[in-house]
Amino acid sequence: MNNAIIAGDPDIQRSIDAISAKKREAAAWFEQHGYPHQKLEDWKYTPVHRITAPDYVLPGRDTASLLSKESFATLPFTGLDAWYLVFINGWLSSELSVIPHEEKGITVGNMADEALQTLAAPHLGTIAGLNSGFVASNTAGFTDGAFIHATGGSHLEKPVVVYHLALATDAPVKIRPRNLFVAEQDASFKVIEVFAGATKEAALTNIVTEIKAERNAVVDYTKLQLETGENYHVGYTEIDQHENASVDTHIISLNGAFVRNNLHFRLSDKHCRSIMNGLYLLTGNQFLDNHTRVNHNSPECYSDQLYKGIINDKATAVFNGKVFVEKDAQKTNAYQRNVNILLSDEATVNTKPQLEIFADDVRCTHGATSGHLDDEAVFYLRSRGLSEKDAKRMLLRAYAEEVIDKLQIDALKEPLMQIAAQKFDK
Amino acid sequence: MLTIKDLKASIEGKEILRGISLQVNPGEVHAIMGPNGSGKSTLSAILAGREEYEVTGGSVTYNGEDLLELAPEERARAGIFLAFQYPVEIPGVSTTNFLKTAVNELRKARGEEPLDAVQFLKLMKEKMKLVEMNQSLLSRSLNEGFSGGEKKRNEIFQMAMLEPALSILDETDSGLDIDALRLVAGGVNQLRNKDNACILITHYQRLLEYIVPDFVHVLYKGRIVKSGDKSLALELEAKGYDWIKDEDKVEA
Repeated sequence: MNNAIIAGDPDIQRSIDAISAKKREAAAWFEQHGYPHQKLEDWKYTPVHRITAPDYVLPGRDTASLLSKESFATLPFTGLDAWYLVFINGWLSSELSVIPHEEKGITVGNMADEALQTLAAPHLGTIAGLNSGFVASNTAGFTDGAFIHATGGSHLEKPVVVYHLALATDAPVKIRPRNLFVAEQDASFKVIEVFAGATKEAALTNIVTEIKAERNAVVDYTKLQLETGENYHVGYTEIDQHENASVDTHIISLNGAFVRNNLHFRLSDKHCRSIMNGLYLLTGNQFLDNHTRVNHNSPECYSDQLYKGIINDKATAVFNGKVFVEKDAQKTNAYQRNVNILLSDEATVNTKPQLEIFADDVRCTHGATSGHLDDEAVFYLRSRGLSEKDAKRMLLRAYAEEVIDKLQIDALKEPLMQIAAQKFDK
Repeated sequence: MLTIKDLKASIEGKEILRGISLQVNPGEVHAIMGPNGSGKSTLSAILAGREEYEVTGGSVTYNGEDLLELAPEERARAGIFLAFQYPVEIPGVSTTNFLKTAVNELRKARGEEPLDAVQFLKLMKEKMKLVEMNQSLLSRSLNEGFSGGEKKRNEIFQMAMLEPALSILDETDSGLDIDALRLVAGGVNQLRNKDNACILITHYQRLLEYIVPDFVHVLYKGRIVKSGDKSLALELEAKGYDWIKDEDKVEA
C-alpha cells in the first residue's frame, strides 16, 4: 500500500495514532521509573547494571542491508522448510525474508508496515503490561518486529522463523524489536525465534513478544538463543490464553553473554494448556536468568514446566519460576520442575521455585534440584568400557534430550543436539 | 589369570580388607562367601576400579599386568566385567544405546573391526535369548522402572554381549525370586568355558545350587578364613556363619 492510500484511510490513521499514544505513555513510564536495578526482588541475582550502563547507539534502518544472502545462508537454522522474517539490528531485511502472501486467513509481516496497523493496534501493548523499564523502553522505541495474525479457523502449515541478527561494528548498539502474534479462535501456527550473531562491541537486544491465543487456538513457540560474543539479551514473552487454548513454549539457550528471559502466561479462561520447556547450557563467564510466571486466573487449566540447565566453568544461572493459582482457579493442575547440573566448582546457580495457591481444590507440584553429574552412572558406563569423556557426554546428551524431545518441530532437534554436544566437548 | 596377593584396603581410614590372597585360573569358578560386612563388596569394588577405596598393601595382577593401575574402562577393555549388586538407573540412556559404544570399544581394544548397526542388532538378538531379555526393555532408559529380576538379567545380558575373560558377579542373586535366579544362573552357565573365569560373590549358598563353583572361599573380617570345594558351601549352609565366627574366636 502506498503512502497516499494510507494517508487517506481513516482506519489506518486512527491505528497509527493509537500506537503513538501507547509509545508516549511508555516513554513517560520509562522517564519516571527507568531500568530495573538489583534492589528489586525480581532482579536480585541479576547484575543488570552491566547491560544498562553502556552508552548505546540506536542502529538505523540502513543496517538491515549489511548482510548478503550468501552470508546469511551460512548461519544455523537458515535453511529450514519454513517462512522467514529476518531482522538485522531490529530492522526487517526484505531481501532475506520469505513471507507467505497467499495463506488463507494468515497475515505474516513486519510491525513497521503501516498497512498492518489496523490489525496490530487493538492488541499491541495489551498483553505486555508496563511493569518493567525494559518493556517500557521497548514499547516507547521499538523499531520493527514480527507480526503474525491468524483469523478464526486458519492454520499455517509451515512454521515462521523470526530470525534476529545483532551486528555491532564500532559502537555498542541497542536493538529493540517488538513481536505480536495473534491466533484467533480455532487458529494455529508455529513460530521459531532465533537469535544469532557475534559481536565484539556490546549489543543489547531488548525484545518484547506478545502472544494471544484465543478460544481453541494452538500456538507453538520456540526461542533459540545462539548469540556469541558480547551479546546481551532481555526478552519479555507475554502470553494471554483464552478458553481451551494451548500454547507450548521451548526456550533453548545455548549461548549469549548475558541473558534474561521473562516468560509470562496469563490463563484468562478455563481449560487452557500451557507448556514451558527450557534448556540452558552455560560455559565461560556466561550469565543467564530465566524468570517465568504463570497466572492461573481461571479453573481447570493445566500448566507444566520443565527447565533444565548445565552450568560449567564460571558461568551463573538463575531460575525463578512463579505459579499463582487464584481463588477462582479450582481444579488447576500446575507442575514445575527445575533441574541443574553443575560441571565445575566455580559454576553458580540460584534457583527459586515459587508457588502461591489461593484455591483449595488444586494439584500443584514444584521442585528444584542442583547437583553434579551422577558419579555412579559415570562409573557404571566406564565399567562397561566407555571412556570417562564418552560416559559424561552420553549422560549430558540424555539429560538435554529430555527437553529437546519435547520440541514439536522435528527438524530442530538433531541440529540443536549437535550444537549442544559441541559445547560439552569444549 | 588373576593373582591377588595379601591385598589390604581401607575406606575413610577404616581397614576393610586385611590381607587377601587368591589365584583365579582360566576355566575356574570361584565363590566368595561371607557374612555382611566381611569385605565381599569391597573386594569386587576394588577389582572393578572404584576410587573410593584406598589400597594400603598387597597387589593384584591380571594377565601379568598391575590391575590397580588401570582405569575402570581399561579393565573392561582388558576383559573384566562386573555385574553390579545395585545396577544404576540412567534416565535417557538405554542399554542398546551405550552397549553399542561399549561393544565397539572392547572390540577396538582386541584389535577387531567395529560392528555396524545390523551386526550389532544380530548379536543382541542372539544374546537376548540367553536370559530371555525382551527388546523393549533394552530400548528403555537403563534400569528405570525395571524389576529387581529385570535389572539382574540385564547385567547378565551385558556380560553376554561383552564376552569378558573374567566376570565378577556381586551378589547377583540378592533380591531374586527363584525363576529369575534360574534364568540368571542359566545365562552364566551357558557363558562358562575353559578360557574364562568367574568370581561369584554371594551371601547365600542358594546361587551355588545353580552355578556350581570349583572353589569356595569364606571371607570374614577382611580375610579369607577358609577355602575348599563346593562342599564347603553346603557346610556353611548347614552350620551358619556363626560357625566361622566361633572358629575365629578360638583362633584369637
